[in-house]
Amino acid sequence: MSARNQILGNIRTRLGRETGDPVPVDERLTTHPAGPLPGRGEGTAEELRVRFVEMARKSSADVEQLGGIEELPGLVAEICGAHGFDAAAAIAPDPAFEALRWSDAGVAVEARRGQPDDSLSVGHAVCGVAETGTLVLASGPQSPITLSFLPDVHVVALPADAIVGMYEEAWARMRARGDMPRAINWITGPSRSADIEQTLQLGAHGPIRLVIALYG
Amino acid sequence: MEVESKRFKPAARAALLDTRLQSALENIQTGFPGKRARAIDGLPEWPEVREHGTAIRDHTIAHLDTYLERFERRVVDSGGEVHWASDPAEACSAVAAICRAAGARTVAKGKSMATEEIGLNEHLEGEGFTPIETDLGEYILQLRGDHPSHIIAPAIHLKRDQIYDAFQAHHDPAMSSNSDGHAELQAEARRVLRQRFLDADVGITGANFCIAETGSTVIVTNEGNGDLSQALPRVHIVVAGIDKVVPTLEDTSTLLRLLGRSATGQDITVYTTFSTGPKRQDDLDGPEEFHVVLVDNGRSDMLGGELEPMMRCIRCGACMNHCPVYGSVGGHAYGWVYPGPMGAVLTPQMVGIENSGDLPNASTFCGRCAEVCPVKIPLPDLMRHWREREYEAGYQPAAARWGIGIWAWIARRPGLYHRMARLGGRALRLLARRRGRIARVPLAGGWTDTRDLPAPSSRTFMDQWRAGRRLH
Ligand code: SF4
Repeated sequence: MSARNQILGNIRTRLGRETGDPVPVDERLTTHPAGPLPGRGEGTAEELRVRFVEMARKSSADVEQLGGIEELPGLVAEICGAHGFDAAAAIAPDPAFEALRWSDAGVAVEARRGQPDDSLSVGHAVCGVAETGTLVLASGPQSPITLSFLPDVHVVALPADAIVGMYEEAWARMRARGDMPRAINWITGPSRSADIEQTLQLGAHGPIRLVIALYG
Repeated sequence: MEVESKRFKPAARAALLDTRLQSALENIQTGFPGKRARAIDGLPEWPEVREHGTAIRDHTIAHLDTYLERFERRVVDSGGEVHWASDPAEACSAVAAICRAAGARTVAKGKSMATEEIGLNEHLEGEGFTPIETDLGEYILQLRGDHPSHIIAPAIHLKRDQIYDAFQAHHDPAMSSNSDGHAELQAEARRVLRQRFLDADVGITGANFCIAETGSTVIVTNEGNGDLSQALPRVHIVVAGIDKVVPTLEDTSTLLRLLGRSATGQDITVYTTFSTGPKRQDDLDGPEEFHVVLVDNGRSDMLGGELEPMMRCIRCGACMNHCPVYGSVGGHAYGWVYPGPMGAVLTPQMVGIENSGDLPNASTFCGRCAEVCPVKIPLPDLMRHWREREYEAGYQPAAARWGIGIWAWIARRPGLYHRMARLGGRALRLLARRRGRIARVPLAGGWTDTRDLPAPSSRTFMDQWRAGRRLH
């Protein structure tokens, strides 16, 4: 007997029935009911923006408020300067990024996936979740996930109107976009580890600094 | 990993005398419980979320067969492949076959208890592959030929100088720094492992959840190694127990609210990653192949019986973080992959009660584990179940059985328990002399012996635990 049949057969025997019962299963999968929702994910747009910023900072992310996305090159130039990096960035191949006036800010950009020795990358989030200050990124041709994990500093652009209260609303947005992408990355703060004597250190394998560029 | 659970008593005794281990273990008692409590305070809906999370797990378990079939179908729909394995041998050969077909040499591994459980590294090495652990803690253990002593903080038993020595011995050509500071050690591991990720042909991760609705697997990490393990190599293999399946994205959200808070006291871990199939057309990165190996290994046998609630476990580690026995002897004394209260229940199921010795007795019956378990698993009851099986099978000598009863009786009366333990075990020793049997009580022997030693083991389980709690 195949392992598959053996496992499924044993589950049925132990549960005391001969076949599966698809009705409650398929009902749940189709209706996907939400569980108890956290009050901290509720509020007006302004309240949620404030909570998102507060929670993101609690997770050690930096949040920079921009008037508009056109201010992004200036912010990137500033960050490069502050860290002593060359004024260069790997940016997500997103037309909205490519159209920005990077050369005016003196930043050399390449629109591509992440490379192992990248110092700084710029990506974009589908939404931000106020509940825990979490960014939701979706992989795709315009959003390679290596940009989120290889560089030392990760800058993520997030329009203020893309802040939602809780995870369930983030899923509603994802469902509205269509099929699941290869990867959905929830990112809450920069990479860290406490594996050495339970002492927290930032920048384990991923970025040591996460900057959220909140605009609009 | 060899099963050494039969040696729990001598191993526990040795652990109590190991001053270096004792100082490492203090990090658990003073850290995790307070962080968890603060995180839960920040979510007033905790009782409802916990109730709902428990109900989700029960519902899934009651329909496990159908949920697994739905999950499988969705994985296949998204271009992935599912492999079923009844036991560790089948799981290991499935993984090795995928690696062979991929022409792999180096395999980068994210942290996964399921791969520890099936002994995957040893198997892959035997087949000529080079598995590299990439979680910082697991990597340190691999260099030292050591095993995890905690399910979420695998290297918690080690001190900094031991880690420095391991890097010195294995890193070539030179260390990036001569310092054994926390930051320097972490930077050194990052530097060396970066190259390993790039060399890897296959990436293996575990799964915290497998979502039936979408065919996605989910991992939660803080380091980002699990993401590099699936973003850079050409093939991604996920190894998961059949108990990991969850119906929907909404259900996963509820369980994620429980997991991070219970595990490390974080509202959520830094990276929560939902992986669905191989890379899509026009994607610039991601694996070309996506495989899920579903492992049973005794899990389905827990259904329909007393142990069924154990299938709810989300591997958060809270039960061990709050266990006075675990906090005093550490994870290695448990002798196999899963330590603490959850290990005392799972190990006999997976390796056989005849190989598990005293594990079901590794308890003071204080009940903290069940109180903190986010999915309300009645762990002390399940340990009792194994003690009864042990008794029926005649694996426990009569004297030990008798002693356990006394120990349980004492432990259920906190005042008496504290007094006896703090009184330097004199009462216990007196009892022992008079009755000639109490010295066989699990831990009491090791415990009373160490009473005469200087710090750090001069305080009792409960004293240490309470002192830890007072810090917060
Ligand atoms: S038994 Fe409960 S507390 Fe222990 S690891 Fe499992 S879910 Fe967490």
